[in-house]
Amino acid sequence: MLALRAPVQRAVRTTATRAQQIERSLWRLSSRPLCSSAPLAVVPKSRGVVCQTRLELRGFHATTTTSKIVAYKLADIGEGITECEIIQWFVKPGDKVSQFDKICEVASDKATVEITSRYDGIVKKLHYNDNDIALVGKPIVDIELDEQPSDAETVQPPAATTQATASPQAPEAIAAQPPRDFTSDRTNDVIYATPAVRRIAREHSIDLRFVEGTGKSGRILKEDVHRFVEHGESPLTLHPPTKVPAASSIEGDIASDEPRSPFIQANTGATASSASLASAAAMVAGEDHMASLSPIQRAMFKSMTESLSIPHFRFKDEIELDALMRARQHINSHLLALGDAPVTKLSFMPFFIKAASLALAKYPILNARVVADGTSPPSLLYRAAHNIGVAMDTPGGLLVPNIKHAQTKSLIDIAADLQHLVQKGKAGAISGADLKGGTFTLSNVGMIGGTYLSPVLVSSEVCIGAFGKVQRLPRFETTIVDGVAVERVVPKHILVASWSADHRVVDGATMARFATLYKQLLENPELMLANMR
Amino acid sequence: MLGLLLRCRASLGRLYCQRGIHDAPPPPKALCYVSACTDPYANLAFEDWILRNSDPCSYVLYLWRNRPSIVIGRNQQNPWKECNLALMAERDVVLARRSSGGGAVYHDLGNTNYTVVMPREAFTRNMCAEMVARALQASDIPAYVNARHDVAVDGLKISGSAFKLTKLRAFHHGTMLIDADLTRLHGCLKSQAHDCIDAKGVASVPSPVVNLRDYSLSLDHSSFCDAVLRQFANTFAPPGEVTVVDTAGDLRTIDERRRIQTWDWLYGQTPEFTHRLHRSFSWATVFASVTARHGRITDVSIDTAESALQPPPGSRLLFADAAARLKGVRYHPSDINECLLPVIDSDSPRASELCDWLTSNLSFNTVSSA
Repeated sequence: MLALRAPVQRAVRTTATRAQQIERSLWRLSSRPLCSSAPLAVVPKSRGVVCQTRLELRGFHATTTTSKIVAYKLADIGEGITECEIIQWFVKPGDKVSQFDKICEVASDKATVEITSRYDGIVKKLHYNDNDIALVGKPIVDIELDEQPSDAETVQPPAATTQATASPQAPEAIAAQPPRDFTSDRTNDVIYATPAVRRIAREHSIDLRFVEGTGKSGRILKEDVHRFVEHGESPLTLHPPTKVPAASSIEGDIASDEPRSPFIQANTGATASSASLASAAAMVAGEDHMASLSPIQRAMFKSMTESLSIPHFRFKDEIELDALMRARQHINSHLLALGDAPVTKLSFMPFFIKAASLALAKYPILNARVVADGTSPPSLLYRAAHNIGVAMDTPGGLLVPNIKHAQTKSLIDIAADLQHLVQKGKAGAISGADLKGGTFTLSNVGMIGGTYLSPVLVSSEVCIGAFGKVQRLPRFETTIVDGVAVERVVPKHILVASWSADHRVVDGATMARFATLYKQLLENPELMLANMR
Repeated sequence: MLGLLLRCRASLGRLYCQRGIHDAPPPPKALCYVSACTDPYANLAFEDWILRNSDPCSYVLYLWRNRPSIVIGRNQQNPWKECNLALMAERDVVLARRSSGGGAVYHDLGNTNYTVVMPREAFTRNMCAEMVARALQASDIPAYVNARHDVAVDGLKISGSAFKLTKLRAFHHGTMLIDADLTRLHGCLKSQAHDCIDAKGVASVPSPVVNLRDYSLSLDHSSFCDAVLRQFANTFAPPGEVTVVDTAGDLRTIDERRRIQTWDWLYGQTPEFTHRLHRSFSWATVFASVTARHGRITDVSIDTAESALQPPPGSRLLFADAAARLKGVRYHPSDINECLLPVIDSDSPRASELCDWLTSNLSFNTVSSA
């Protein structure tokens, strides 16, 4: 068929040979639906010319029916089993399968498990042969779903899919559809669009590289182009210069000073821009702009809505950090001299985290979790592990990965973990495991700014602490000079710690005592040493 | 079905099914079946029936005994490697394959089997083993659950367990050696071809076993069943009814009974294995390597030693001919014999020697009439 010919031959409009003409007329006569699943021609980047074909002549609608192929993963079969052997397949490629039909039987050492299908559809590909070892969490079979995914889902810009592999609070909402990967299309500069779509784009002087495709495999459909024309730009394409990734080769071409036309702005590749920045640019362009929430924003929306139903008790206190700063300097110079330490420098955060863990040992209720599922009376689950979450502002948005078992780790261990998480956050590689299981959260938003904060609880926890920025402020201090008590004004480094606790289960006194102990630990680092496990 | 699934979600720390937001959830439905029949196929078929047809939220206890038989696991078991099939036929020991995993076990009337079928969500490996251990402790036997989820006494295994999980239900079944004939057991689970067969899949882990008779003179099948039933009632719920079932005559399980007696199930479910054998004839020493998958021969290679001198002429052709004929044949003595018959009948004495040897040694411990 035509689609299989080499691209070069198709791209340029030439005098058709007799054979081509016959073929074209045959194709015109065929009743095959256009643009079904045939691969489309690949147009080299430099050519903007679009081949006029019979598609435009017949005025066919350029949308395709999208049937999604889902890679059905082997679900966790429990018991800590990570891999098992496929004993028997009950389906083969091409079979029709309905939800709850048996797909295969797997076995581990003593247990056999029947795996049933979650979807209705047609089996496309089996990932394993008989008696192969299948890994839990990896796909075992590809199923082509019967129904088309709804428009609402496909239109959403996957702002954070390229970075965050899991959103913090609500992976279920997003996990239903595998994240649509636009990056591979862009970085190869291959644009999938039918000739009809290209003609429309040409007419409107739109470079198809900047249009977000919503068809199969990122294909650009006619509606996408129209939308692009109406709304000015799609949220993906705009990119503020400050957040451009270094890897992009056309970074230098960003002509962001000119808000006149979005069409001349360079697309720097796949990194996400948050909807707010997109709307900011739209404001600049003078138009209202609707943007759906990114996956991270959606997760925040859901979790914050849940969290604000919890009555918060708030407690704020000032902490003098001078002694801690001296201790930290001392430790850092020692680490620098060591040379082979896992971290070369400790920031304040490891101290904050370890002090929290030490204080939690005395007040374990603040590391607990409220269990109120409506059927049984509410109870508290006291948790042994101090998985201290650290709020992080990543390019994709707010994420709260946690440091596991802080109660067993030293300051240096915690610092190494933190560094690792920050690096992962910058690369957008924070995993679901990092985000799950948190028991207590600390937020150092003071690095950005702010003094007094009112942090919102994470709904699966009962306490959260936030630190403002460290300020150098005057304070009174009484010292003995020549046997006489003298009151002086001295500069101190003051940090305000703002705590919020779930007032349904934590009373003010407990929170106050915890905060006071925390303050003591940070103001007197020797006490941290004394309590260290 | 989805509604049922949601209702079966186990709440924290409890095994009950949620039936709505009421004050106290009702105890789960519990049933007990006792088999009056000792045919292993009938009993296994009935167990499968319970798994697929019982109420998804219910807990079912099933107690059964088999006449002398060897029961191998679902797939990872190679009957030719695990069992001495010829000896079994001699002693009238039946071969059966169950649908759960695990190794080969010996059953006879001195061994009682228990199966607990429960909602999938409630399944853990230790739960039922601990229940049985408690039943034994109540009968003054110091039983405990070891690291392999088996019930043991004094470091010796008295019960083996296996599990099966489907979408909604799961079962744990296990044996209990009360007064089994252990000498008969040893012979049958020792295959002569054990070292010659390289099998994929998991081999049985032999553990030293002991009868409970050594620890209690009064324990027997019915008192054990009573003790387990009592513990079952304590752990889950008192069974609404205890039904004695004649599993061999049960019409509901006819198809399943037939299915698990077929050659395809008993032998055809074997994963890939390679049987290597060799023999020194007067004219050459021949090495044969036969690979079979799902009980059918997939690959045969017959040859002399690599660095040996050329075998007598015509041998290569003979080897190739025999190898080609054997491909695709069931790994069964009568099938192998039948396919090699034309070669045996030919005039060459070497051909008949070779084929005689192959027929008698491949699948040799299977009885021809089986």
